[in-house]
Amino acid sequence: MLTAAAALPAYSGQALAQTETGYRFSHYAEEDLSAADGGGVGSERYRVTSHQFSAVHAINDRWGVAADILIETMSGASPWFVTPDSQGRPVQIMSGASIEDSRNDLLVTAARDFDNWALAMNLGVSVEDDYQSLSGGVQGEWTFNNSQNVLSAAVSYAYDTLTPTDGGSDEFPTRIVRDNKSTLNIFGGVVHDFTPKLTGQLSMNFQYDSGFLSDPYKLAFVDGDLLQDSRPDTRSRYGIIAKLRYFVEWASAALHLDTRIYSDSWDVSSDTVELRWLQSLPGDWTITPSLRWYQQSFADFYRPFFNAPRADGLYSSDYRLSAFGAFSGRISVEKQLDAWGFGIAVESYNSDGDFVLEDTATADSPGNVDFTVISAALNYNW
Amino acid sequence: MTVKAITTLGLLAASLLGGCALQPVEPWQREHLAKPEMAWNPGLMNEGVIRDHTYTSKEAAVGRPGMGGGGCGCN
Repeated sequence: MLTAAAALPAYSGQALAQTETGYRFSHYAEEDLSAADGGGVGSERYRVTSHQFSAVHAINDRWGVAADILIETMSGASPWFVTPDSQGRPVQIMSGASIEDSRNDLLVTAARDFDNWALAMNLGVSVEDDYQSLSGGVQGEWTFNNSQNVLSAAVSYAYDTLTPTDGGSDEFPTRIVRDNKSTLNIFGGVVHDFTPKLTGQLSMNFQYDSGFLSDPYKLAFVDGDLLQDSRPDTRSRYGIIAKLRYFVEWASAALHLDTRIYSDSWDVSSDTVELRWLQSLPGDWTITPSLRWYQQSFADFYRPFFNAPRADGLYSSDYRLSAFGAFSGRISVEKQLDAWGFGIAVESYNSDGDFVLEDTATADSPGNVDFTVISAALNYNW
Repeated sequence: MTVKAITTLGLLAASLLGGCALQPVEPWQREHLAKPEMAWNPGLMNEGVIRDHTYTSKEAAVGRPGMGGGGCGCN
């Protein structure tokens, strides 16, 4: 049965109880910018504390509904622009620890089961001081071939409004006052059970972004001047995702392999590989170590700084568009106790311009981020 | 996107499409496939969704349906 919580195509897992409620606390903390990357000045970076509430209710054998609420508070400093030092090395300048914001996000989902078919719809709204987003989506999946295959498809759309703090002010006259962007996402995938212990999923994802796609808070150093971050107003993004799940019977464990290749019209391409080992232990404990590796190439209009103007007027020194790789290690522990579920997890993420297969030293960023996330969750099946 | 990665995924795609040539998995053989630890998105409260949100705000790539919207990520 497709339940509302598991409504995303090909993500539906085990059937749930009549009603399930849950809460997750997460704390995300970025490591300080080093003095070496900050031109002799270290800096505190960003922190996000999240409270996530969810409720899923199966109305009957056919219908399910779900609601997810996310409340986040953000604070700290973020990369602002990059300048060359006296030797021409890039130095990251931070915004100053002045950012204080919060985000409230609501997502509601309704799902309908039609024997071998299932459909789900969702609507979402996200509100920050300087950003609002409205989104909606439809997903469907079809189980066939004696339940050995699942075909799934999804379409979603989001319309976002940016109202940056201090936009158009005397202090930041070039920062926009208000603008919009939209996101169309189309997804299709197939699941195939290879053997009684091995199943795989292959999916494709296309996303088209349009509107104001720059970061209104970032600047670029261009031949001695500081200009607003300026990116194309459209972006086509393609991803292919492959996943395998293998049950290791002698260990009573499951091995997960998730891979993704990605490219977009900004000339960014990336590879992602994640391995997980879900180990069941006596007493309904599960311990899951995982490792993730990611790399990306840089956008064609990205440089740490620009020694000359570009003909197309596009500039970004955002570290997220630089060439970098990242290693991430995570471990989670979960325990089921009757109707209760408890879980804790910690993740350490480290990124660097050297963690890529093809070295692109000229496109490294001094602003690459390392972070740690700790989280704790509990849920209850009514 | 590296040639190696494309080749690897191509082989996997071929395996998926050719998978029907394997012995079919009968309903009474699905015990292991149905276990919670075999889920596509394991963990309490769809934890993969919020993890992907974090990655998407720090990396250039996206790769999950319905990832549009949901915050500025301007930091």
